[in-house]
Amino acid sequence: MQSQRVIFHVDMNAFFASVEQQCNPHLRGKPIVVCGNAKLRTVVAACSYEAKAFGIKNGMSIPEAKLLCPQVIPVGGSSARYVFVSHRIFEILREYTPHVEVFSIDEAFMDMTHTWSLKGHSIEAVGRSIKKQIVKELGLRSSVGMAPNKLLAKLGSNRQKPDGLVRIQMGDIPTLMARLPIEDLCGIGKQLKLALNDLGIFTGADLGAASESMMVKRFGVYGRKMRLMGQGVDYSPVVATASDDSVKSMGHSYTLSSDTSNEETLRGVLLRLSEKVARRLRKKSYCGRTVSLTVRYAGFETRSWQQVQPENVNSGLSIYHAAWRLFMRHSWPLKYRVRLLGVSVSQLNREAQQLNFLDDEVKRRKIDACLDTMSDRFGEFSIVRARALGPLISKTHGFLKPEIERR
Amino acid sequence: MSTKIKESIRVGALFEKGRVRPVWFMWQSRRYAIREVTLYWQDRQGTDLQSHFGVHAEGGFFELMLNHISLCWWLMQAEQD
Repeated sequence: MQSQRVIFHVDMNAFFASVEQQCNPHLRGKPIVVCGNAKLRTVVAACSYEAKAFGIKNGMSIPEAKLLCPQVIPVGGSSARYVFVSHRIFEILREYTPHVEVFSIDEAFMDMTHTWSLKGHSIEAVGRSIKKQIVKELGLRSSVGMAPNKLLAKLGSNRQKPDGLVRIQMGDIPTLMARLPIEDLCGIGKQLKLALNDLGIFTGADLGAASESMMVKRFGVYGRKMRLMGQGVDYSPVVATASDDSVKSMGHSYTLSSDTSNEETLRGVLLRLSEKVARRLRKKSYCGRTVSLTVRYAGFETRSWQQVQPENVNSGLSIYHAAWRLFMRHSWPLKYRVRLLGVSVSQLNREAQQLNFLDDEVKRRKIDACLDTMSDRFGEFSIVRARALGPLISKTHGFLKPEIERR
Repeated sequence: MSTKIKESIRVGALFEKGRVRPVWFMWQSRRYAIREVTLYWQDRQGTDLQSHFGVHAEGGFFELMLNHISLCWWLMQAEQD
């Protein structure tokens, strides 16, 4: 059955930067980096292929990027623009099959097993047609991988960028895996790579030939899965994304306009981030049990802590109090000034809050409901708590989602 | 370098097949003919739906915005040649 599946992986090329270049013709063909706010000090969220050619990478600070390429153009990102374009891309993909699994804001898997023959004379022709339609409607280039499973389809789209079209068939696997570095397999990150290297495993072929008992002993059930990955085998289905039931966490982070150890500023930013996370949770009728805090210090050292709360939370104040407690416990007094703060809530579930008849809690929920009504009518953060009105806090910029909700 | 403007402007637009396409706009007493709509997207400001158009016109790149409730057009940003 495995060989009969036809899976596509569509990956947009340098998505945020390409959207900016498509929108503004003056940016086309130039090295650009997309960041939270072009005027404030933020990190590179995405870079164009022209910027990548200079060695610029995501996560670098703007001064670091400018050192590598003095003519690089920082562009303030627009999450509304990316989300809208992303939705449009997925709509296009759904014209080819209803089985579209959104993997991130700019990539998706498609199960084309039963529909490819309705859309073209060959599998490659359908891949070309998808790419062409995205260019025609949005002016954006993509890479498409086509294979009998998700693992190989993703490998295919990664093998030719930008503007690639790669088909991998079962017969190609031995040659492909013989030279494939294990870190090119989706699901093997830096730490796993190092652990596998310690065992003498460097290529996909090494992984596929590893002893199953040794892999299971060392990595548990994931060891068995990784060994199959080395053999080009992946049974995971394409799960059509129709709802956000699988969202596991929601969070936001913010790079301060200058490093600070000012308590009021830090409290203000943390409250603003907490309110923003809470608002998104409530909008989707979620609450969560675990609050996490991320702090990046001036020297770029980044630390995260989390704590399970006594009950589910979706109020900005509750999230803020939990995050501030974590900050005070683990990071106060400060050794270094703070560069970035991030707050997220995980262990999400649908509104499983306990009924609470305490006056303060009832009052707090009424205030949240009132704030939500005002934000719905007049826009996000048209009203905020006084503490969150710090001069260093940008109203609309910088508070970008660190990533699409983790799934 | 693009400059934020946010100024209410007059726009000539075509409404066809359920879509709107700006054709020209007036800004600072000059009429700009739009050569290409480079990107279209929507967002919300509270309950107001807003359509944004990245446009390439004589003289540069501009972002126009149509507020679907007030039916007013705005010039949001400009980057002139």
